[in-house]
Amino acid sequence: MEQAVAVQAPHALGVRGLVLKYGGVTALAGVDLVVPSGAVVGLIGPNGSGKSSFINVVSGAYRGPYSGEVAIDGRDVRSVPAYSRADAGLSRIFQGIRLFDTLSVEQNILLGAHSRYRSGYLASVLRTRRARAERDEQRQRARAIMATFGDRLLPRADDQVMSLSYANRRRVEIARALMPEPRLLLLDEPMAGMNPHETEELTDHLLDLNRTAGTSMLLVEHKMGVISDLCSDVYVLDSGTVIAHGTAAEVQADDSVIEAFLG
Amino acid sequence: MTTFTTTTPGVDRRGLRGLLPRGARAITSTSIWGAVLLVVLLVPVLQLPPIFSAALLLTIIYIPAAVGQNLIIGNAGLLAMGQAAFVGVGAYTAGILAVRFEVDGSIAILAAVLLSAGVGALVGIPALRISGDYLFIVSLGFNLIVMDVARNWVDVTGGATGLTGIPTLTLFGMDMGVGQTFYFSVLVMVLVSLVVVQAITSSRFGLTMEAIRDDEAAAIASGIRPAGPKVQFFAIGSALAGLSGALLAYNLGYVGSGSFDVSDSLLIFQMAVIGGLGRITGSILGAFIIILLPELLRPLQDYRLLLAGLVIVILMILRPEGILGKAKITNLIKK
Amino acid sequence: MEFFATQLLNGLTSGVVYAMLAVGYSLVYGILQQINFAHGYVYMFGAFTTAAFITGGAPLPIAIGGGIAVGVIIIIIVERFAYRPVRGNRLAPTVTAVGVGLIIENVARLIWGSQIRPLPFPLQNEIIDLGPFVISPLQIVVGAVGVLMAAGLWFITAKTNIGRAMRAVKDDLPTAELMGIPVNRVVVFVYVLGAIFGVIGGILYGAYYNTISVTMGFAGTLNAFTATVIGGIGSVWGAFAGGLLLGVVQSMVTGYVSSALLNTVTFVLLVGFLLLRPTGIAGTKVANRL
Repeated sequence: MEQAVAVQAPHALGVRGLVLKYGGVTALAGVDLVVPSGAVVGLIGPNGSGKSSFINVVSGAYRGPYSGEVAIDGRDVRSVPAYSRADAGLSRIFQGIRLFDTLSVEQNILLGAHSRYRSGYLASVLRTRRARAERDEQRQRARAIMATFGDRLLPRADDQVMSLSYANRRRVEIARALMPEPRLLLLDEPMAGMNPHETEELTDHLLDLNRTAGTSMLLVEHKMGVISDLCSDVYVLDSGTVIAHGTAAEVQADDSVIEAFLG
Repeated sequence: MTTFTTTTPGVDRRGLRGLLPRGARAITSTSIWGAVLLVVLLVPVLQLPPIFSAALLLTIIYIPAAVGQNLIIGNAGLLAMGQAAFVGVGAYTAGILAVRFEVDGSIAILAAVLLSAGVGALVGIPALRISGDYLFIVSLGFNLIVMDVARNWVDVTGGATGLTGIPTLTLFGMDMGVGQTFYFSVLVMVLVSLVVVQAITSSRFGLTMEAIRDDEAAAIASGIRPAGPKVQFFAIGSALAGLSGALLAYNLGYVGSGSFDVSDSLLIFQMAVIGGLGRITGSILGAFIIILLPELLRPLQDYRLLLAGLVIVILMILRPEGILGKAKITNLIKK
Repeated sequence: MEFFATQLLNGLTSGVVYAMLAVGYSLVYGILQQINFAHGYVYMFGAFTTAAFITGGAPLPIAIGGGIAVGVIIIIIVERFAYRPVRGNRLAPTVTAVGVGLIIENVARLIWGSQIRPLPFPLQNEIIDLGPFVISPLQIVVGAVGVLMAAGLWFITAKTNIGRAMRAVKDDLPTAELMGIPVNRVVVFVYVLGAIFGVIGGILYGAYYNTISVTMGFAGTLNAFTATVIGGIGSVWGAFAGGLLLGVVQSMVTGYVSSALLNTVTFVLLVGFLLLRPTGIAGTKVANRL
């Protein structure tokens, strides 16, 4: 599957021959998946298909052995621990929203930029000139990102995120994930728990994001409507293998896909 | 212990002020600090009975230890206790240096703080792999060990009889005596430590620690490596306890192995919890409640521990974050 | 050889006591995932009550029964008013338990003072000479009681309805509730069972060593906890084995090396197992065993 293009941005995510086994179970049996730079790619599959395992390998949460290649922004991340993957260009949001609950909206978002700071902890305590300059720079970026959500987040910048609505909490999580200008944004069921109106709003937001900033995304979702609206390319996973790959329309019409979901 | 850098004035804050009616919310953190400062500065002037001023001095001496405990449990979210062990390390270090080596107070206290920090960091490293539930029993067990060492290492610590004859505090050559000058020296050192703590907790470093506490997985996904801040906060919390210990040594003129027991650890723990996790002012309040209040209410002296236990039980039901603590913090601590 | 045998027997005896404590503790932790910090304090209070009864002239069965009854009453009150209201929170129950421990310890202190006291018990001064070494009939009693109680516990948990209910609560509390299991009652039962084991352990301890003090509360919790970790959380047989191992190792080290090392031994075992083999001797939880 060599691409014969010389001068092109590396794939946001390139997975080749990923095999994952543990406890006698083969969670992933040779998965090939590519998120081209600037694309939004979907990953769907019934429960137990291996989606979570896949995400855990890509995010680094899974620390065990696996075979195959996993490359983010063209760089193999096998030896990159989970806390360094943000540096490698990966940002993610979690199934079930994980925020820093006792902190404010702004503080949550600022923390997303952690990997971008050159000045260290000591500098931040001593409030050196460079630390202060970086802080101001990141605060400006945070405000800019919050502004893209209209009046949802900015007026609530100092509120504890705990007090926010579910949809707003999701928006904060996305804003936080965007702070380090990620090469790959991994979205794990971002629309779960949202009503149709909120889903539509968030879908538009993500489309906009992809169009203007060119942010590459891997979207794991159950709502096919969202997948069709957002994804140029869809992979279908079942029992650890990719059983279909194509556009949303193609994949939806595929017999083996229908059977996997219904059977 | 963060101060939210507000750009929107009048934003609803958490903590005790959340309970107050709108008008009263103008009372900010600054006024609490101001009131406390006023009180502690005026006290020597007021010529209060020695028992009271002695109790006040003891309270102020224990504030760093309580704040340190708060940093570990409240800010870092590590359920580690046994602070009294580090108070002991600090006390013995300062005491030994002062008595045996006749070292200036500034050096003795600095050494106490650094050694406590070092031991704290050493303890913090294995603590990374021991999860919440177990950590607190292990830390109390560590407390017991330190006590055993203190009791048995007779050559160094004086064993069960302890270390006597600690001279009065000399700072940079000047003798601070036992009266007002000593009181103010202690006050200044404690205030400096509080300023340092505030600088830490309101910085990006402090915020990062809180993020790790609130959700370690999300912190890791944001590129944060949890181990570093955890060990560092362990060290800082222990260093503060060491400071309390050093000041205690100079205050009493004596260091005995009985003062750094598990029950003392539990008392310090209560100061942090009752006063409020996640806020410095909470630990100050906690120290006042645990040490000073029983002094003021003399008949309560004997029942102090009993009442503290009762207060804790009731508090956990009604307001688990403590009087001045950060909302919902107790739902996030524990692995 | 004689010294070795003596130390071994001593260790096994204290080991049985630790086992009793550990079993009581492990039950609660295994089923409710709550660290019952107050466990050791209840055991101490029960032992003191029994001592008070004995020195007051009451017959032995009444004294023992009284001690157990008091322990049970305490834990019922504690569970109802201190633990149950904070069951949902994650940190609060641990903190509450510390508060409860303090309350119990200081009530005991107020009633009985801080002095070490004896616990007079029959057979304390008797010895059976077995040639190469001596054994105390009390040691045999302690051992027998321990084994009987463990067997009884196994029977309850494996063969009775309440035992099944306990296992259901352990596996999934909300589901057990939905299935109509009276969760609150099961929880109380578990705590009560734990307290009974603990108090009997305390009485045995006091009887064997003929000393009790209010400070044995925390030591009791620490030993129970360590034995549980050694044996494996959630396994009753593991807790038993852990207790025995702890007792023997303590006895050997204090006998052959130094008596000052008692706490250090416990601590080293605790941390060692936590870091190197957190699942304990018993390994991972066996599905239907407690």
